[in-house]
Amino acid sequence: MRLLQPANLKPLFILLLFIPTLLAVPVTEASEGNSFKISMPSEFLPAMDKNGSPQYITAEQIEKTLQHHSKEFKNLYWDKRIKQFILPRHQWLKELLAVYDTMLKELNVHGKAEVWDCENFSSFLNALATVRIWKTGYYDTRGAIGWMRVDAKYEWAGLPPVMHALVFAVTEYGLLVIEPQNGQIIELKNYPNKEFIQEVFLF
Amino acid sequence: MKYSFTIQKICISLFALIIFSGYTESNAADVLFLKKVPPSPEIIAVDGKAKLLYGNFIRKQLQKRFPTLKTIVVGDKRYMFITEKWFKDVIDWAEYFITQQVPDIGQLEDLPIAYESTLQMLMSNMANIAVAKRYNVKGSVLIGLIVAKSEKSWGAIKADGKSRQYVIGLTENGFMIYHIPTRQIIAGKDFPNKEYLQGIIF
Repeated sequence: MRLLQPANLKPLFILLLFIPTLLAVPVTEASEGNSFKISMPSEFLPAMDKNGSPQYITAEQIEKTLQHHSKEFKNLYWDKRIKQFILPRHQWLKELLAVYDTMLKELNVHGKAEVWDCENFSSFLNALATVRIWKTGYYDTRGAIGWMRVDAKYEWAGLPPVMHALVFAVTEYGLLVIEPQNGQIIELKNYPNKEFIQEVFLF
Repeated sequence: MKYSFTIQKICISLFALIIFSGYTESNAADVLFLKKVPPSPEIIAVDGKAKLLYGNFIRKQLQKRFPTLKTIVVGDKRYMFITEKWFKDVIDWAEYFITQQVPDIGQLEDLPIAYESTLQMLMSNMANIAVAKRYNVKGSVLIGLIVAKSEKSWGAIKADGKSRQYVIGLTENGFMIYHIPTRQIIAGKDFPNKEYLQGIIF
């Protein structure tokens, strides 16, 4: 009975606090022994409409918006089997960009002319986003995330005005232009080089 | 008494730290543990220099050789040749990478829509990362995507006239063509539907 006195319960309480520590840490390390680690974005979250259903957009709608803003627009390349593209939630997209930056650091990836350049930064992000969308069970669509070529005339996001590849995405905030090398985002209507967007790839 | 109080404080702090780190990680990102590392790059060299082809040269050759090709999208200036073995290794690794994230993919009746282009983008980018880390070459790995009508049968693929997508790679044995759903691979010169190419992007 003396064991149940409050003074004697303190060490027991401390021991109880330690149990999760003892259980959690060594198991993780042991089971992941010889593997290598890559950070990935968390579960895909779609933008929702007022009824609580995921929002979608068609390639034709995207094309129309781009034609409206760019006088140099030539082509939208997309997989004709895809009827509509699911919109990512803006918050998820921002997280995707932050995790992408971490992931590239983990993989020790740096830009290298002609080997790993702006097109790679853009298309790799695009592919990773698609896989995360599948993970959530959206197998019959693809995210409204793609990449584009712009013959930039004005500096933006710290990148010089040259032929450049960038990411674009459609969220509940509209069509956005993204610099995947530093995560900067701007609405298409405010993007200084919107008139010079030439080709857009939605696959 | 003083001693046990300090222990108690340390334990509570540790506990709080563990709970907090677990909370932030689960809300910020997932972590993927991969047991299989990306395969080491194998590029083709001639006289100690990487064997390269200009993108524009490839475009002109394709236009000349395949008049049915309506869309040719060339992304880079120069492309290197890789070994056929490494091309196959990169296919395996990219498929493994996807399966690790989406284990259910193998149970699906049909692959997800846009699977071919996503696998191709992962392959191309991972291959270029590997080359950039190991070699000092100004050129890109040519791993692209082609679309061709199935007018002639090829193994498990019927001659049904449907358009199908394939991954293409430039290797020491020329272009290799890989069909993802049936896992068939063939040299470009032997590809039965080469006369029915519709588009290529690399």
